[in-house]
Amino acid sequence: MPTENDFAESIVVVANPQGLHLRSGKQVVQAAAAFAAEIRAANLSRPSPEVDLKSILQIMQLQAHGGHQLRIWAQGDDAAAAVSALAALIGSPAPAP
Amino acid sequence: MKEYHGAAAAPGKVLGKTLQLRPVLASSPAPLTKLPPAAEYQRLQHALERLSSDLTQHAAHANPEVAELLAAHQAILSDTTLHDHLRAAILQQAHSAQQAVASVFGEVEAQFAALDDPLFAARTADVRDLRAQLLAALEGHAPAAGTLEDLPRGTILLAHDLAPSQVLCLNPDHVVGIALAEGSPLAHSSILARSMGIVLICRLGAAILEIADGTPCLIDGERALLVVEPPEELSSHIEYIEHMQPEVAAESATLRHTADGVAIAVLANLNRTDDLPLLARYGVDGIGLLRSEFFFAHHAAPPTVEAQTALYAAALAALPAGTSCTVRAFDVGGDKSLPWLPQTETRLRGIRLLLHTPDILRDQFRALLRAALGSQVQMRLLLPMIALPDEIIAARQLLHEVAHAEGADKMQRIELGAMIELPSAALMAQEIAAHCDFLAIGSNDLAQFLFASDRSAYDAGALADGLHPAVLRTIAMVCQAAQRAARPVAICGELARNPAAAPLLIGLGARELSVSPAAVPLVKAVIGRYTLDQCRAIADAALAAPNLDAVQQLLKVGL
Repeated sequence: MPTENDFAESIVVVANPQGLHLRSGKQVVQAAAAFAAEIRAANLSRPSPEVDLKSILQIMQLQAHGGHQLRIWAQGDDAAAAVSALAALIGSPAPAP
Repeated sequence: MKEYHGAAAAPGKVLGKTLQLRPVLASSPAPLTKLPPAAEYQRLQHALERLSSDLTQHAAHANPEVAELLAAHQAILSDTTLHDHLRAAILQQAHSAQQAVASVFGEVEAQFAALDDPLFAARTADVRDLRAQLLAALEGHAPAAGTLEDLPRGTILLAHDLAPSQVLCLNPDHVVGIALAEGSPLAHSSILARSMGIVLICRLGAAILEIADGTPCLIDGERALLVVEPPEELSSHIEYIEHMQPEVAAESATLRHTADGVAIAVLANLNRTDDLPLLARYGVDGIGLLRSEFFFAHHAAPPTVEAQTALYAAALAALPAGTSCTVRAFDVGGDKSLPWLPQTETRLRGIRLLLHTPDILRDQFRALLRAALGSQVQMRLLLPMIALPDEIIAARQLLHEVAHAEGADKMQRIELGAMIELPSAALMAQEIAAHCDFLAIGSNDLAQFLFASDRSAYDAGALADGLHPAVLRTIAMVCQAAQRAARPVAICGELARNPAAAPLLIGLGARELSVSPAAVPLVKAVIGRYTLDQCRAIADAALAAPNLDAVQQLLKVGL
């Protein structure tokens, strides 16, 4: 039975003006691999599948450019830490609506 | 004559003879006896390991652009999803290793090909490339090895598409151009061709695959045009690269003047030690730009004084007495970074990063002074990304200190120059020149900063063009300022390597051009046909041109 602590999510704006291509995506994969939680993301700024952030090939499917909004969520023991680490790496927090 | 239009991917304009790249692996290999799943899985893992270690080895000797590509390929190869699917295909669906690679990579390729963003869709070619390499590794041979490495001089390679790993096999001194039926300016193959100085046009259409081998062609990377059997008036003034054989090197070495006897030096850019033997072969008048950071890009720690001294001494030893060797100080920043000279926190670049890490700059000075000792070749040091005169003054002070500590008056042996690539430096050129021994204009970066264009893949299709009147007027301004300060000006970059632009640059006031080693004889031959007055007339007309097209038309007529 998952508790509240097992799930975390965040919405971030991709800070790298070049977006999440192979180079920056590789850093994301390395960061994501450090966590036990399953970490996923979707691009809110264009139609995109929900992808696994531990896979560079899946990250590329986000087609994320600088300025795009991504939703990042994680499920697992270290979900909160995973989401905050990846949100910090990928972008600046989204402005409050 | 017949013309094909495509998409510009790597600039330059050269003549050559066509050669169709025919698929080597067209016939499917004899089906192997399938082993039990566990053994097939082991075969796959061995192939993955071998390919990965090949990429690592290759990257250790590669320039930064190539190393970046190889690192990206490594990242794809170690992808977790990919491994999961490969494992499932073999262990659960009882596919052979080859079948698994073909189907799993095929799916990924289809996913990428379906992406609507061209930048991300361009990665399809990388996935396809890795699939071919992995299948070749499983079958125990290298893909197309031997065929790409040994193409004749002056080849324009025609192909449906070319994988990045295939581009890496090409010898840029033999293959002068690549014309692709498909491909993308955003693909890694295009980026590699640019870094290797090979002209590349893509999306020319399947009709180019019918062109007979050995057909003379002009490939014009600026206008994205492939001209088959160009008319005499277009080709007569540009020699076929294939005529630039070793025996003409001696002639090239003696060509050092315009038609009316004004001394012009055509020097070579040096990015790797492998190119040192080319300097004598192509009769260069020195090294115009030794990109020092390229040689130590994959060191974990800053290169030692000894390692640097050996490199610079080897460069000096490869040149005839009386020439010069220009070493550009480690140039890091922007899209370039090094493990041992990080700029992440400071965001400083070029000279400002070097002055911020003076120990690294001191070691480079020390190595240059030691290498220059006793050489008959003039050692020059070029400082990158100079914005203001103060930076030259600070660097010169540091050089004085190091020279003093080294003892003797070796100081006189090193000339100090500023790279003019920022608009601020162009505007302050006279003041900067007063503190320098020479100026060198980096035309690529100058064009980029003048247009605030991004060197990243986004802008690759519309390369900020060094021939634009905005760039030419800036160059003219720098040359005039340098003349007032009585300092010589050299021009490096794509602009200089376009033979048609050489008379224009001389007319603007440059007396030194630095180009890739193989381009030296051609540029020299063109310069030798023009008088200084003719060069100036071309320059005046180009400076008055209202747009880029007008300049390009002018050069076409001029040729």
